[in-house]
Amino acid sequence: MTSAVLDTLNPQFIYDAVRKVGTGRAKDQAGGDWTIEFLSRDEADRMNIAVTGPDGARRELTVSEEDFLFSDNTVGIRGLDGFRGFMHPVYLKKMRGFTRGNIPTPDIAGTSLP
Amino acid sequence: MKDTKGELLKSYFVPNGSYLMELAEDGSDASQVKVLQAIGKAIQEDLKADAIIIASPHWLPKSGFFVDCGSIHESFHDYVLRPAPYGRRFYTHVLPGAPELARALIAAGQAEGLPVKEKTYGMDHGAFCPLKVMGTRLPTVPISISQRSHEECVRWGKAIRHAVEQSGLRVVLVAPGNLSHRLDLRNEQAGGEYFAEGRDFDRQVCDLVEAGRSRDLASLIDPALWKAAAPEANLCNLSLIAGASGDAPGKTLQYQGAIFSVGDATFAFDTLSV
Repeated sequence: MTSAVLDTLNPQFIYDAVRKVGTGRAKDQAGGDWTIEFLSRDEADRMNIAVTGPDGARRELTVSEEDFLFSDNTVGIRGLDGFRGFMHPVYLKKMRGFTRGNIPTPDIAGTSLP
Repeated sequence: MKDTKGELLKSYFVPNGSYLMELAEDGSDASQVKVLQAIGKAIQEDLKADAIIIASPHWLPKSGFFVDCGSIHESFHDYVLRPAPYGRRFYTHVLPGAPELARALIAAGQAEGLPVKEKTYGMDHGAFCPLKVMGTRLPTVPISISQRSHEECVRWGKAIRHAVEQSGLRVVLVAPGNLSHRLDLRNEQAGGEYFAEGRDFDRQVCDLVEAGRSRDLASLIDPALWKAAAPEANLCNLSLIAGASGDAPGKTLQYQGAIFSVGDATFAFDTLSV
C-alpha cells in the first residue's frame, strides 16, 4: 500500500514542462501500480488522459474535472470502473489542483509555461 | 454587503516563488521578502483593507475565469519539494474567505460578458506564498487568471473593480507573477547576467509598467523577445491589474533582476478614476 509518509524522493505527481504532461502514480488495494498521464487540455478544459494499470494495459480517455472522484487519499475516475487509486494526500491534492486548472512549478523545466 | 461605496485601494504585482517562504522563515533581509512584509503591514495597518483578492499565476484554466467562494481556503502544494534540485520546504497556509465578495465578482464578470464561474480550488503557491510572507490574515478571495486573451483579462480586471466598488468593502488586489520566467535556465546568480534576453525583457516591462502601459505589453514588446523570456502567466496578471486600476502606472518597489532565472519585480498601483 502507499505509505502515509511523505516521500519527496518519489513524488506521486509531477509536471513535465517539456512535454506539457502531468503524471500521477497511485496504488490499488492489491498494491498494483497505476499511472495517470494528463496528455492535453482542450479549450473547454476537458483533459485527454492515459491510464496504465498494473497489467500494463494503457487506456486513453477524455474527461473533465467532474469525472475525478477524490477522497482524502484516493482517486477514482468515471469511465474506469472499479479503479480506486491510493495516493499521499499531499500529491493527491496536487493532482486535484491540476484537474482544476493549476499549472505547477515543473519537476522537469521547459522553455515556457504552461 | 455594506451600504457605503467600496474601494479598490491598491493593486500589487509581486513575486511568488516558493523560495520566498524559505527566505522569510530563515529571517533573510532580501529585498523581495522585506518588500512583501512591508506590503502586508501596509494593507492591514495603513490601508485598513477589509479583504484581499488574490489572482494566482498558476491557476490558468482555458475555458474561462474562476472564483473560489469558500468561507475558508486551504493551501495545496504545487511546487517541487526538497531534496530535488531547487526543491523547497513543505509549507501550508489557511485563510478565511469572503464568500459574498466572491459571488459579487462572479456576477460582475458575467455582466461584463465573460465566462466566469465558481470553482472550489483553494490556494496554490502562487497565491499562498506571497500572502504567507506578507503575513496578512484578512478574508481572501482566490481567483483565476486564464489562458485566454489579454483583452479578456483586462475586462476581468474591470469587472473586479466594478464589483469591489459596489461591495462597500475596502479591497486590495494582488496579482503575483514573475517577468522573465525561464526555469529551464535556473541559475543562482542574481542580476541576470547569464540571460541577456531576460534582462532586456524585464527592463522593457518595467519601463512600460511605470509608464502606465501594462495593457499594451504584448503588443509593444518584440514577439521573439517575449518568447525567449517566457513570462509567467503570459503576463495576463498585469493585464488584469491594468483593467482594475484604470491603467495606472506602476511604482517599482523592488527589482532583483533575474534570480533563479526569473525576473523578480514588485510593483504597486493606485486606482485611477475612470
